[in-house]
Parts: sequence; structure tokens; C-alpha cells
Amino acid sequence: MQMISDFMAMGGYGGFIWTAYGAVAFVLGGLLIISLRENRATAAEVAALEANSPRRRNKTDKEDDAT
Amino acid sequence: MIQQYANPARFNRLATTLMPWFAWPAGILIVAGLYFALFNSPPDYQQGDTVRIMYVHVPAAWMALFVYTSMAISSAVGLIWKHPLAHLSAQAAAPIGACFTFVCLLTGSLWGKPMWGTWWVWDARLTSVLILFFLYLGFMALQNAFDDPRRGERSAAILAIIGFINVPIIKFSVDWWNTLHQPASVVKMSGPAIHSSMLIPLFMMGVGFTLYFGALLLLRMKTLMLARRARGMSMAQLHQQAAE
Repeated sequence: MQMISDFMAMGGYGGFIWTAYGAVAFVLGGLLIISLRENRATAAEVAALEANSPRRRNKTDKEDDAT
Repeated sequence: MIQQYANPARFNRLATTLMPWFAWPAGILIVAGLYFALFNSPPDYQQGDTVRIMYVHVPAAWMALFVYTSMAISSAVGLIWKHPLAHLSAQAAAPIGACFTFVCLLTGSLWGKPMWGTWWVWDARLTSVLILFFLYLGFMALQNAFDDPRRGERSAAILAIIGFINVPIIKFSVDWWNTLHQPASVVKMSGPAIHSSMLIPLFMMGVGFTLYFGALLLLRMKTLMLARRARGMSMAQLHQQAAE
């Protein structure tokens, strides 16, 4: 126990150090989660649009990225 | 037109293949780097344990500059050669760079309070990094400021290129002006002035952050490409409905 509390205290600077590491984890982890969600949502949107226009599928496949 | 289509499609396949090669090593290096940074590196003889903030602060600062440089290069490529992926890459990179810059400022502040006795000081290094943060925000705002996305990406690209002047200013600010921020200890002519017990975890975090950026950049570019595709398709459907 003593070892753990010594480690957490970081020579009295624990508050600064853990806040810094926590902020890094929160910001970089948060950006990763947001990016993954955006990717999934946009992929679902494209899939829904594709299902919506089966007749044009062959044509749009060639057109859409060039617009 | 076919050429433009071929590039994004090929890119999409390539990005899907490459992403795990960035993501896994990034995760492993960051976890290993954190272990060394927190458990297996010595406290500094002057700064005590607060030196451990360095292992996230310094790599975040490197990334802030690296991502901005990549953004300025993509913007220039986009303006000059009109490569379809160039503006997309700059657009995908901007939020990542902004996050790294924010983290750099925040951890610097948390290091400054116990060591300098102040959260913030208007010295050349800190101020120029704050300007970098605003350049990222300005880039993102400008990109969405126009109805025509092409005008937005061109304007933002010009801002990114002009703002690049800030990158060497940040790097050399600690030499050109008398700053409270310490001068370079790793990237300098005479070689690093840090013991390997600190340099190794620092580089692990630096390479880990770079690979994290690579994986996230590919993911965000894929999303932007999907969004472009969705826009094109819903527009085509609207036209079709109007015609019927």
C-alpha cells in the first residue's frame, strides 16, 4: 500500500503529473473515439443511400467520387 | 474524371491495409513508453518527478509542429498540382494537430506551475505555440466558411502556407529570444543532452504519437471520402427525384 501511495504522490507533484497524463489520455483517446464513430456513421449513411437507389448503382459508382 | 476516381478508390484500399500497421505499433510503443516514463525512468535532479510530464509534453510539441508541416505541404500540393487527396489530407490532419497543440499547451502549463511558479507566461515559445493553436482553429473555421467547399479548402490552404512561417519561429524562439522556456535538449547540433534512461522513453512516446497520427489520419481521410461520396449520391438522388 505504502508503495502505491508513494507512487501516486510522485514526490508531492502527483496532482500536476496525473492531471497532465489524464488530459493526454482524454484528448487523444477522445479524438480516436470521435473519429471512429464519424467513420461508422458516414459509412452507414453511404450504405443507406446505396440501398435507396439500386437502379443507379452502376452509374453512380463511376460518378460520385468525381463530383 | 476516371483518373480522379481511381485515386481515391485505390487510396481507400491502401488505407484499410495500412491502418493496422500504424495502429498496433502505436499502441504498443505508447504503452511501453508510459511504463518507462512513469515507472522506470529516474526523477530529474532539479525538477524531481515533474520531469515525467516531459514524456507527453515534448512528443505532443513535436507532433504539433510535424502535423502542421504536413498540413502546409499537403495544402501546397493541393494548390499547385490539384491532387484530389491533398486537401483531404490537410483537412483530416487539422483536428489531430489542434489536439496535439492543445495537449502540449495544457501539459506545459501543468509543468510550469510547479517549476516556474506560474501557469502561463507571455514568452516567445509559449506565445508562438498558442498562435499555432489558433492557426489550426482558423484553418478548420475557414474551410467551412464558404458555401462552395472548393473555395473553403483553397482559402484554408493559403492560410496554412502563410502560417508555416510560425513553425521555424517556434523551433528557434528559445534561441532568438530570452525565454523562460528552456532551450532544445534533444534536437540540437551537439547531439542530445539527455541521458538515455530519459531519451529512450521520450523517443518511444514520440514514435508512438507519430504512428497514432498516421493511423488516425488514414481513418479520418477515409471518413472524409465517404462523406464526399454521400454528398454526391444524395445530390444525384435529388436530381433524379426532380426529374421524375
